[in-house]
Amino acid sequence: MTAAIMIFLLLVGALIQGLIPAAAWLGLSKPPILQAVALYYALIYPRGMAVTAAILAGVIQDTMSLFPVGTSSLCLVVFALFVVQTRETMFRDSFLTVAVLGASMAAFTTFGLYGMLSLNSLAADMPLWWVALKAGGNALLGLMVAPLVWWMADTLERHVGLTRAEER
Amino acid sequence: MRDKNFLFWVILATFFLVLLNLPPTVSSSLREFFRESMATYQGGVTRLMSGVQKTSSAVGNITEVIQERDRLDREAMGLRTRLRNLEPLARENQELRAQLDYQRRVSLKTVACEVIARDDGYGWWQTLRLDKGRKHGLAANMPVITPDGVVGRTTEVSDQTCDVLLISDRSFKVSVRFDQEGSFGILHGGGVSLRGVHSTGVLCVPGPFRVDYLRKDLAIQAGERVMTSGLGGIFPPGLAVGRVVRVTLDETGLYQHGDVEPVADLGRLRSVLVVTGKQGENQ
Repeated sequence: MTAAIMIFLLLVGALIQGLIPAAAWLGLSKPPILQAVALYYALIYPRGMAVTAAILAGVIQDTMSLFPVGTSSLCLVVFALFVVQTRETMFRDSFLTVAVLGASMAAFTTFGLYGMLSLNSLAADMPLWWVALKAGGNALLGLMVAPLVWWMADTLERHVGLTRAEER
Repeated sequence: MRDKNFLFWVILATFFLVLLNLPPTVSSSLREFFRESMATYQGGVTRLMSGVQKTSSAVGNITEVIQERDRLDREAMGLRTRLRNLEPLARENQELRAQLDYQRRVSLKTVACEVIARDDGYGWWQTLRLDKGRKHGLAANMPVITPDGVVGRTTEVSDQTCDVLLISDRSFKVSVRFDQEGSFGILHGGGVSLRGVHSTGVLCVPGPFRVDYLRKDLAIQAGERVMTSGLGGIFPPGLAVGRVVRVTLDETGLYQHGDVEPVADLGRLRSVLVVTGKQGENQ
């Protein structure tokens, strides 16, 4: 059931992320819904599940864009593993924590993707100021979207009868 | 426990080595699978939103709609009259062309497509997704146009969908010719402009295109039309690209570069034409 919910969240997230138009003043950033789903699993679930969610979110994101497949997955997995390692030291049920992590994940992924594109010589036409604006825009959208996705995913899981390990 | 941890990292590293080095056929099949799965829903939601927008706009502006209809009626009448006056001129033009042994202007074979999504899913490239694909005769690297001018070129194509890289994307390059001056250059997209009038309908106003390394003795004027040159193999010659806004000397003083504004309204594209070949040409 957990896997089915994860796939459902990722597909709906991808659909919504693709449909929301990007704004120029946010560096053409889209609300990072897929990243927020990956963050949800990184904060709550065991390491294997967190990594699976991050890989799937990245693959879906890459297939929707022109990124080489696996590029986003690598960035998301690195951040997800960082969250898995440090989550015991955070108030992980707090919306503020989720918002800050959502913003950090979005900014980290933007710079990570730019780095990966540069390694593949695909970033020659992208000025640094544009990437910085994009990272800022993504962080702002991540700040807003991550708590919302968290709340929706949590509500959905409770509705279908899934409970967290610490509540059992 | 330590062994298990070590195994996890080894599996993860191997997985990423494989994933990042997938053969092009496998990665394109993966892309096609996801694009095809999403296309139905993307198309449905886009059509639904468009319907809602049209209905609400029509209900809200019924007086304006009636006035617009009357104005269009008058305009159509005027255009019909002009067309009748132009017919003899067109005949004369054709005769002169035939006399001068000019090659007849080749008309293009096109497929009309509807835009089902804008931007790639992450906003790094300026793209469109169309509702037609390989089954409708589309392939990668085909020109995409509107009656106004060039819009972009196709990139990835699946059976039922096709992605288009817009001419305004910074990575887009096309060989162009200045209409009056006759000189050639490579035009590349200018990304999106942070200035300009943005609205909920058009969130991204394309920045001016750039043509670099123009000889400094060329007398290119503002307002001059810029067309595709036909060099480069993708775009046929003579398609409108834009108009020169300004020409300035570059920092070294050795070359000029021109800023070109697009003729096609890239912010409001609903449907486009994909050029699949020339009339009379076998596919």
